[in-house]
Amino acid sequence: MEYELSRIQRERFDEISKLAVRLAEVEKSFGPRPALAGANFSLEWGEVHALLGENGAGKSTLMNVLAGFYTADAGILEVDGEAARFETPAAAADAGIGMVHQHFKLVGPLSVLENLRLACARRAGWRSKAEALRAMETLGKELGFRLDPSARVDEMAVSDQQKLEIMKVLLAGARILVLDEPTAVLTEQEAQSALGLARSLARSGRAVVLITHKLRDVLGFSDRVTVMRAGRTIIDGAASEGMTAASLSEAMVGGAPVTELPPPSGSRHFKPEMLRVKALCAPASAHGVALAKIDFSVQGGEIFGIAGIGGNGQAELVEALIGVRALTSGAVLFDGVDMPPSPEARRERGLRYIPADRMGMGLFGELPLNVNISLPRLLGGGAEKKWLVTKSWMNGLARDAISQFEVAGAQVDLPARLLSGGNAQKLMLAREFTGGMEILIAHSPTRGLDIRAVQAVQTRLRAAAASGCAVLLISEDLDEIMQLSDRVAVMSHGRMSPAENVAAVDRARIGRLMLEMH
Amino acid sequence: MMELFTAWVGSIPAFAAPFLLATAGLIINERAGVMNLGAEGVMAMAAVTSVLMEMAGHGTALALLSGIGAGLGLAAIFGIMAVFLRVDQVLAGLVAFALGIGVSGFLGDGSENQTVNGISPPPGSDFAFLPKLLAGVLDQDWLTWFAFFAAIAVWFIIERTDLGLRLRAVGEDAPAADAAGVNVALYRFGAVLAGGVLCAIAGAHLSLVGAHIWVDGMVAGRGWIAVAMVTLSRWNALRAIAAALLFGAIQALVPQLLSSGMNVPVYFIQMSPYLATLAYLLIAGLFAKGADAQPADLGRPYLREERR
Repeated sequence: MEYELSRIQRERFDEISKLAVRLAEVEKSFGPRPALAGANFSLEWGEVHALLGENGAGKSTLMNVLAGFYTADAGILEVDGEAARFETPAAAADAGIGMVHQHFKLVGPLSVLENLRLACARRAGWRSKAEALRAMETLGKELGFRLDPSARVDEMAVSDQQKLEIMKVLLAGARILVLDEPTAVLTEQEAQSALGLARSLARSGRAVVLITHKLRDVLGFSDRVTVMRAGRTIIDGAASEGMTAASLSEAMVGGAPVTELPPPSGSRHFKPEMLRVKALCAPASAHGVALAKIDFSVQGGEIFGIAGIGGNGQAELVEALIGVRALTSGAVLFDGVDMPPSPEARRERGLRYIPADRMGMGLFGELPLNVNISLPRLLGGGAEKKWLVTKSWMNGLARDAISQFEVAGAQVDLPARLLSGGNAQKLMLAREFTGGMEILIAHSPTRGLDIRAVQAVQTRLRAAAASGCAVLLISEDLDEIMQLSDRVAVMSHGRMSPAENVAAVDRARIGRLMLEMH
Repeated sequence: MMELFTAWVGSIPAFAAPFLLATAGLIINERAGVMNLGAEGVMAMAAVTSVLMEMAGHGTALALLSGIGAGLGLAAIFGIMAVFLRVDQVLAGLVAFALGIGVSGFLGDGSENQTVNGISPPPGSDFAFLPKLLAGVLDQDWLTWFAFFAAIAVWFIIERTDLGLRLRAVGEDAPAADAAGVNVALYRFGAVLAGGVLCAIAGAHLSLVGAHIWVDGMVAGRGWIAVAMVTLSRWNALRAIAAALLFGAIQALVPQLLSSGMNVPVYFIQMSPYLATLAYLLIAGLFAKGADAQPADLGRPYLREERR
């Protein structure tokens, strides 16, 4: 009798068991900098809960604590009402937590089935390949899609890899799903269906966390929202209904709300055609696609946008343009004459390049800022050939760049890898925006940046075009393409659709072109 | 001439076996993502220890086991450095190499050139009913036979079993394997130990089967050739059998040509394995095919909370 719960206790119990996850006052530091400074988060069964914040706000770190990838320095973690502490991802998975990371945790050279067996065999209790296949089939039916079990993962489309990741965590027994920026790499249609999938998973009794910095994901697809800023929780699990884009972005950024980038002011003057690509064919890179007869031209003062899902030949096209990939046929003309073949000579002719992989191909991560800024100027394009390089000359260049491009938290002798994504990109821009710039190729220039950094970069791209430069913008972010470009084309399977005026195109059709133009 | 040929062919498997054992061992290492340059040292440790134990009157079986133990000890030192302390794998491998060569020279000082029974093929032929050439190939001691079965077993385990799947996952993408619930450090250390056992048997084979003595420096670069042979066989233990037979055939030529009294410069013959390695690496470099099969996380230490 004495074990019977009182009414109040029972209500309290119901309330607790409704909660799938409770994180309270969580702290975590990497080195001296706190990534989480007392973050709170709660997740109910059956809901899609959006976790919103800028880059570095701590949302991924917090979820990594939940999923056992990081251990918290302090704070409370409860799963299904019970205190927990996960030292490993395996321990978190045992408690029913599965995380789909932004960078998928799949073993590329292995097949779909091998990846599933690797991650799920023990937990799902499969003793044979056939059992694994059956489980995969059954789940595929529930989720409404099918994957080829023998396909090599690194040869699959990104959206299929994401589906495999979701399958993987579900087959491993996850009831609490954390999706880290699931729509970042998808087309419009794919994103809609991924978000719909998240919703139906929640409705089937699971709980889903949606880490995102897209307001649309929050307003359209989540039940509740938590907003983080600088390692703290600003809005703790408010109903998404009744939220507006303005209130959310204010909570995210703090202080004055960030306004949309204004439309280009005044009338635009296009100079004659500066860059022309004629029937360009080039071989594929490893796991890439070959380019088949690419044709387009960019005028001075114009931003030419190339939309498309990554891996459809964008990387090959950029490499062919900057001179590191040999053409099989076709030509790249600059002001009507053939481009010189070497990358150095192209730089000298005025070509500038912002690579998609800013730490890999762009900056020298281990080298200090002053070297990063000055080295390319010595190699041509900047016209400062000198044989003796003094520290004061390098520091002067670096100081100018830091102040002019507002690189925060930077000193001239700081290794570039210690900059945050946004500041690294500003440094990259400062390096490329030197005298004599005539053609600018920007490949995914705002990927992974927070709102303010995105605006800073986009404003610079506009400024480059306004100064008469021919700007080629290659991006997977359709919003960005539509917002910045004057004309737009779509790349798919190494081909390019005819260019169209941006005012005349319709988003849905572009989305279809991304997927269908085989 | 025909007799010379028969003798040569019959001696190939025993010459190939140490290469094969060491290569199979290193394939286990590298498929798990660990580059082990210490094979030469491990082989030397095992070679000297097994001869010393046999000289002390402990019998061949115990001699072989203690050789394996000595090699395993050195492999474990390498593994602790490379896997748990995340020392640069090239450096840790060179430390294991230098340590093995140095300690084996020290241990074997004064016991060089003393013959032991070791392991020999059974007297008489078990395959006398077969043609002479074939019987010659099949009449091998049991440790040589073991080498070939071990290579097949390594291939089967890596390519066909659950254990192998985990091992490959750790070598191809350690963070993904970790996320899938595989203990990366444990699998890597296990691979280092298993590989160390095979490298140690390779060393014991050199002294117990091949030479029946210990001479300082007798491993003579075979551990290094095995490192190159991993690439040559593109991380596949079955292809390693073919590669080992090729190198074994070249090495087996040396005694045959010398005994035939043919007038070939000795140093030229002795350098032939290295020439073959060099030739292969040149050809492989020109056609750049080998990189395809290379485990993507080879040589990259893994620590979870590291932000990459």
